[in-house]
Amino acid sequence: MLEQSLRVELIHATTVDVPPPACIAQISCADQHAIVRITGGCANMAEADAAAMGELFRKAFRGFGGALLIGGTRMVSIASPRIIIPGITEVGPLIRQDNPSSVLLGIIPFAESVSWDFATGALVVERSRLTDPHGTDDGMRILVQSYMDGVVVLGQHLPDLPSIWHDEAYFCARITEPLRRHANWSSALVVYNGGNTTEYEARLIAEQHWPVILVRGSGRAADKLAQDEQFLREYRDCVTVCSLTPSSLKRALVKAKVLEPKPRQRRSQRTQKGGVHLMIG
Amino acid sequence: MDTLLDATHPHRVPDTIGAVDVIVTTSSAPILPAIQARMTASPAPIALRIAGGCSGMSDDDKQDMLAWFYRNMHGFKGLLSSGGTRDIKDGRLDPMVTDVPAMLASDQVLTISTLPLVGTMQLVDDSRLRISRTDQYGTSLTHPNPGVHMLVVVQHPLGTALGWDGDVRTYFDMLNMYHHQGHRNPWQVGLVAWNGGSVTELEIKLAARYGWPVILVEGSGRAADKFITAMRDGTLDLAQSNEHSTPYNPRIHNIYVVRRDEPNSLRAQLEALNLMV
Repeated sequence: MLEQSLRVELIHATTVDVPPPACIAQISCADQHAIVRITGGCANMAEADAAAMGELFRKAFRGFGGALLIGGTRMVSIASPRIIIPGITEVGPLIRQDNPSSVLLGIIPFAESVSWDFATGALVVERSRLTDPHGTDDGMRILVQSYMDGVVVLGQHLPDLPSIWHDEAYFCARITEPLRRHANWSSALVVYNGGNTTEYEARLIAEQHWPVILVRGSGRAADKLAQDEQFLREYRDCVTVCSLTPSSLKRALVKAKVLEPKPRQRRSQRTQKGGVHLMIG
Repeated sequence: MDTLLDATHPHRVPDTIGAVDVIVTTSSAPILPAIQARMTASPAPIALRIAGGCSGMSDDDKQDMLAWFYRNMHGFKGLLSSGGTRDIKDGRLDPMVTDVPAMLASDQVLTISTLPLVGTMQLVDDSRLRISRTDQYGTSLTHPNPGVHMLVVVQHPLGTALGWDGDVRTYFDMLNMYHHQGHRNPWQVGLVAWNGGSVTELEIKLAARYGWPVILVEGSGRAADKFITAMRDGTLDLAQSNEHSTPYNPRIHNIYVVRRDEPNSLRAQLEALNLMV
């Protein structure tokens, strides 16, 4: 599953609230000073819908040169590990593949272990029922997504937050905040489908008055917020609702200044992807 | 030189800077995300630390120093760092080597300087910030340099006063972090030393031991000239600094000498080292 040239970088953080320097170091490899966080879920999504979702993001992000933050896992069937179970985390590699000057950073909330499966060559994420009571079905296995520039495994759960999934949202905001405040980076949160944690993240970012893009028609949390008049009124300065078409999502990304209207020339001579950097935060 | 630095308003933040971000950290802390984030705004993947001092230099000598740096570094693109202080004499700017980043700051030159908290930070007059230090020689005042984009104030974890070398570890950590910012294509970091005393000696040794290109300006005086003499005599010992030990072996092949009396010697050396694009 993973490439031969896998390079694992372990970063030991001393506090739970300071993101490891390697995260910003990775992000700084992007040509464009823009961060996009894609959040959401795809519960019970049909294969055809998953393919359409992939095409939506691929087309909308064409020309993207910034950094992308997304869940760092891939779900596969235990019975047949070659069968990938559709998820929002699959769109990250698609975007990264099309846009070589972008950077893709995967975030994996707290796991009891990340172990190497010698039989398949995959990195397997394991969580106990205590950590993730509503976790994956027995028929599913969680792997570290292989086509990424870096993977951050959050090594500690913040007890102030209700679940490990909220950690991921909070962590992404913590990475984005200094770049926005001190270095004038632009950012956007793209909300596609999703459940309670997705709604929490959308509200968290809207409260900062950072751009939030709700993909109407994608389902659940995104649709709920896109119809919430009070939410839209309160955060009209930063929340944009787009439809389920590439051109509409692209327009919203351009409006948030995370995508340039015309594809940019590559600035750096950054090497092509050589493997995954694994960061334990 | 008044056209490069406004000597008559030494406390004024130039319009080109707008507002100086002041970040307070401790000498034992890891580099804060705010500093790392700001470094991503560097217009080119190159950083230079300007080390040194100006003791014993006449007023004319100091003006010549600024003009020399301007001639050699005009057009530099990247991150410039130095000590974050400014000297003021009779209400006018008394130029030091730490004013070089302020002189060159622009949208093409990001400037982040560091400042050890050697005394007490005080607000005086119209909320002007100064640092008051009392030691065996009496009380002295120093001022944060208002001409840089970001000032990193380094304080002792327990709040006691630091020495003038109190920011050295922080800025080395900061620039080593900058070096690794590019990950697979490390960003370049170098040090230029002009004159200076014991702290500059420490900085030269550390930079050389970290493998940074170190450029010493011959004819600038004191520490820089002392090192050049020692290199030529074969007596240079880069390992003698125990206090700030690094895991790297001493090396001198990355130390370069440029002459102050040659107008463009620094520019030529920076270009040769790919530190000027």
